[in-house]
Amino acid sequence: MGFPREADDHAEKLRWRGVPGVGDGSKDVSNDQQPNRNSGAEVSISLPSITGKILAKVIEYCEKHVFDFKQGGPGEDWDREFVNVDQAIIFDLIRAADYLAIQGLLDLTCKKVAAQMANKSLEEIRKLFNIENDYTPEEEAAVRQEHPWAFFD
Amino acid sequence: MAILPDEIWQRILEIGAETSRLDYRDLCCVSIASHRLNRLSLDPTLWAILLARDFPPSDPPPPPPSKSLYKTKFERDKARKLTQWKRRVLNAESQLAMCKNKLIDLESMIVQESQKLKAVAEEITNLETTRSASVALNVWQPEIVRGRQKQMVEQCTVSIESRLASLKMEFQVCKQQIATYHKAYNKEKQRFGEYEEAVRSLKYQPFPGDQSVPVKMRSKSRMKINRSKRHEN
Repeated sequence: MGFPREADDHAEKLRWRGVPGVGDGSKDVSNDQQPNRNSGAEVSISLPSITGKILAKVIEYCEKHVFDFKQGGPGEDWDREFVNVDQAIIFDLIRAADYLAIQGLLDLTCKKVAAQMANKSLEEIRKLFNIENDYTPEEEAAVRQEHPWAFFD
Repeated sequence: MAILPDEIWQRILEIGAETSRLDYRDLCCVSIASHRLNRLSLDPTLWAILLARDFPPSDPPPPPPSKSLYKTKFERDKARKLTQWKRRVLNAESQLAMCKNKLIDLESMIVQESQKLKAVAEEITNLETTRSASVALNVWQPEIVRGRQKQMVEQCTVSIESRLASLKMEFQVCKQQIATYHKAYNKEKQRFGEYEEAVRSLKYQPFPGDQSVPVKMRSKSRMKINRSKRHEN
């Protein structure tokens, strides 16, 4: 289907045969390069912000889900295993799915991050998502003061 | 965190609320994490989803959704559940008290009846001795003992046979009554045990049903076990 060739980490050229029903393709594609989906013409699309490794994952997802409308997807177990990866990779997948407008992958990865957020204490959330605490001590005390109804008896 | 734009964090929070993975506690936690997340977590759409799920709207059209509306409904609901629980504890405790009184009554009745039984048994023994004496007197005792037996028979002023019959019947009735009391006592004791258990468990776990158990009263690990059960899709 597609053959990613990795030039370096920042630029990527891919020969992509149009996959029906998945994404709109990259936003970078100019008009005269628009692939004719039915003829299966080969087109070069530049994807500057996606590494080869992430792109391979995206392609793996697309290949599994290409016939979702006709015969259903690969199932929740496969999806769950697919996003069972490091934090950094999930974030890269989100950005890639957003950039390539692949709704299914975007929803799946967002769902995974939401699930990771659940049930965590404040420190755990900050640590997991590398969130910088930009409150001053007074501001933080004020914000905490607003929320005892959610946490205490 | 800075890698992803606001719209994506918004989508993450929205999907979390829609799929019931994030609840009011998570959103509040998130809002204390940073300014940016605070702003994102105040989005009325998120709280509309939570309000629709946790406090389904009643007939009059509901006010516009917001975090403070959720907070108000939450606190009202919590107060209502607390009063309900208090009422149940009081009911259980009064049941327990009534059962205890019944047990005390039964105990004293058993004691009384046992005393009656003892008295009746004594009188039966006496009368039977007297009867055998009177038989002996009439049949085969030699003259030397005859005098003594005659004395015993003369001392007894009641009609021996009929009194003996009615005493024996009374004895049976007493025994039966005691048996009935014992049975009732055991049943009541069992009930007492059950009521005690009910009061104990009510007092220990004020809110059966995991949604609104106060965080402070459970250990963190037990909370995680309960809430991870909600996660299994």
